[in-house]
Amino acid sequence: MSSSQNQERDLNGRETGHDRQIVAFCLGSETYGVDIQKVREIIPIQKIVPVPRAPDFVEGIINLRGKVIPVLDLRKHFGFEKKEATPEQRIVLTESEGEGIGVIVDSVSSVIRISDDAVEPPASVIAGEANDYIQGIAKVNDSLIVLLDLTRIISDAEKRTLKQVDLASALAG
Amino acid sequence: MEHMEDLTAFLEEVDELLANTEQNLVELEKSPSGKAIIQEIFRAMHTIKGGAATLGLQDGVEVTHATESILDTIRSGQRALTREITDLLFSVLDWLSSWKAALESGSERPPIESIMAQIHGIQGARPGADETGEDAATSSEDVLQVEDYREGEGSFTPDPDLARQIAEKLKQGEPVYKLTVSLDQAELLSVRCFQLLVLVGEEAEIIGSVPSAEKVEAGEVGDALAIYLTSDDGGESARRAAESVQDVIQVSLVPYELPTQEQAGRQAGQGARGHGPTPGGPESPDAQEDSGSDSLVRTTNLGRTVRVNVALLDLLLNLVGELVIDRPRLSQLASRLQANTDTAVIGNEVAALSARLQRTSQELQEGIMKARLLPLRSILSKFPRMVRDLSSRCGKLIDFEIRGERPELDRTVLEAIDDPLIHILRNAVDHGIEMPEERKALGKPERGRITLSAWYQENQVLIRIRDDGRGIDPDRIRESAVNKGIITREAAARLSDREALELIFTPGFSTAREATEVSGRGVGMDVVKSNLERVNGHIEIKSQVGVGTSATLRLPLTLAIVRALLVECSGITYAIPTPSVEEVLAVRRDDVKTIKGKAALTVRGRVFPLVSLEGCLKDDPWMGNGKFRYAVLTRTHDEPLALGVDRLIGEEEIVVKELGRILSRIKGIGGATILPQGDPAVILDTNTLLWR
Repeated sequence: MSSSQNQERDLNGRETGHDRQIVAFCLGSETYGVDIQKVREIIPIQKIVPVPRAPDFVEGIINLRGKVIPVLDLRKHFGFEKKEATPEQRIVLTESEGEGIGVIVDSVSSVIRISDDAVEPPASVIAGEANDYIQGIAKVNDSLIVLLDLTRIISDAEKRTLKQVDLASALAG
Repeated sequence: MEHMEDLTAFLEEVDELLANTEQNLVELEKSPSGKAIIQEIFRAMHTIKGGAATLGLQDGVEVTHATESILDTIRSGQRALTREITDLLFSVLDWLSSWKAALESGSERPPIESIMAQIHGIQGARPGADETGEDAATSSEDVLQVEDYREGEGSFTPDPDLARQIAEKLKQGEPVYKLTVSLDQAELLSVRCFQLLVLVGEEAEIIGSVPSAEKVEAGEVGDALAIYLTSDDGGESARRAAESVQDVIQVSLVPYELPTQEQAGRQAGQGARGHGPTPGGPESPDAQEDSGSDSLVRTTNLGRTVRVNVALLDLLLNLVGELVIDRPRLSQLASRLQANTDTAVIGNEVAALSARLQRTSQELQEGIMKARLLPLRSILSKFPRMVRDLSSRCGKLIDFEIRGERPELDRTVLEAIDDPLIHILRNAVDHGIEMPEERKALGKPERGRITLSAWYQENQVLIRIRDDGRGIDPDRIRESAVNKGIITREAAARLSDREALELIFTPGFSTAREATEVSGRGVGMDVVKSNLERVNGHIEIKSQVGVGTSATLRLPLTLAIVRALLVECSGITYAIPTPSVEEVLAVRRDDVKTIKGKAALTVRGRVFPLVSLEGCLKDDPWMGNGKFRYAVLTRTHDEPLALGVDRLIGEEEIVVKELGRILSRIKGIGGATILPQGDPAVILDTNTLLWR
């Protein structure tokens, strides 16, 4: 979320006035959403080639129109159990500092428009460590949608990678 | 075929000649009076004929010979260049192309009958039989007797035609020489004679020979050949050419003069042929081309280049790769020596040497990468013909122009852009340019215009194909994309016109209602785009309704291309840069020993620890206990290592791609690439494969 939008939050931390468009997707039994602005495209699952020694939440690489794009498995990232590939799975492509990155989700349900009033800030108990990349919880027709900040997730993943690699090098060296 | 190499060289030459001829023919259609062009086409036919004869390819000889006869009547003005003839020439070209392709692939060569029938259909009565009256009327040839050749066993009757032609040359003041060649009685006499005619013909203008070229072609030869020629250098280069032919025993060269009243004859000739503009100004197209420095002299086409076998280039690339790999080791050695006071002096010297080696090897590397560059021309030359054919098939009038075919690109890039360019041009012809009536009604010139221009911009080559056709209507694109379910109507409405244009790159998109013969073929702009992207290229389309469309390709000048060995482990393909590969071999059980419980492979007395490539990547190098089908011998941290793999796929030229921040720092992995089938693959860095 950009800072200008943050300034529009009211005293309760709610954003006021505006609607936003969310790409809603499923992971397990839960529904998540990401800001449509952050989604470059959504593609069907395709051949993912594993990269040896990559951090475990990196599923592998794909060929996206001649570019090699890493794909992350959000299930692993959230510590969910592994799931067999299904035809409903999609890769949500986003961008991090100019580089494309894909995120595998179980299925993409829809693009929905939600009013900012319907978004609650995350309760720290639920979010736990993930507090950073959960932007809020939206209530839509009695169900809850967890709004994620993909950029945060990726920069978090990058940090973890660097740590992992450096640690490994240190051990090796 | 006895000499495969000869055939290969010949086919390469034919390839080039056909490409040039094609260009020339298209040119010729625009300016049917271009004598220089006719001459160039004639020469191409002649060269092909010569090569075909040397290789014993009779069909090629017949077709090119018959074509020559037609061209001859045109260049001598006996026949006008009609549409019928250019069409025939195009057919000949097509026949030669498929003939060449058949030779290349070793498949059955195309039949000769129908093309010969076409040629004869035009030819009617063979020229030569009906020499124009004017020439026949020239007098004084009677004085000239071309001696028949008697030294050899064969004896030939003098040819009055030849005598007359020689007389004519002499009258025009050109020096005539007689080159006499004695040949060893070899099996290939007729071939040798033909070679002589061809080779000498390259150095001098042959007036005629005894036996005549026709007889030589028919195999009626003896062990001697007399060639009458004119030449600027006293026939010396012709003599050298003759001497270079195999089985030639002796070559003699004498100036040939009219036995009597040479001067008188010459003057008489001048007087008689009053239409010669300058004294001794010959009318032969040859001379016209030489003297007239017209802009169309395309001899520069061949350029000052040498053909280099691709395999040789690859070998050099690999050697350079090895140098590049050895470079850091040397500098490591230097610093180790420098660290020790006893050896510091040597160390300094080694360090200096290492620095120099670094510079040299880097320049060498750049040089080799440049040697891989080929001019754009090599793929553009077929386009004028293609556009001509396409436009006449759709009944459109199109002027096609190529500007700047000089930029050079890496071979891999050229290969990758060939199909995309064809596709874009087809689109321009088929969908871009309107029918003549429609253009007229719109107030546009009847003839459409397609321009292909190419130029350098910074470290890129840009190629732009622009047409002045109807342009692409963004609304039609939106509509089509919605109908095809590519995008929702709402989303389509939200797109700017420019974004809407981008939709044509979506897989499965094509605005044509039906795939037509011209632009069909089932490939879409999405394939164009992905082809380009594989070599780090980029395409941009701009269009204005009613005004035209332009497609701009941006291509990298050079690429990070490496040759790599592709191997497979557990179904996954990995690329190992060839320079790091010392050898690949099938593992024999007997060669695998265990040393302290660990597998080792002995190759010609050398011992390589045998680890599993897959295991290395899982940090369990000894996985599999040395049970591998194949091993790749390499080095890691300067020590020999054998990597066990399941399968060797082969060697491939790959374009190195970025892996992205998340994956860029992984040890043992140097990058990624896209394999020809489209799957991504990891490029391994064997030197850091095993952690120390």
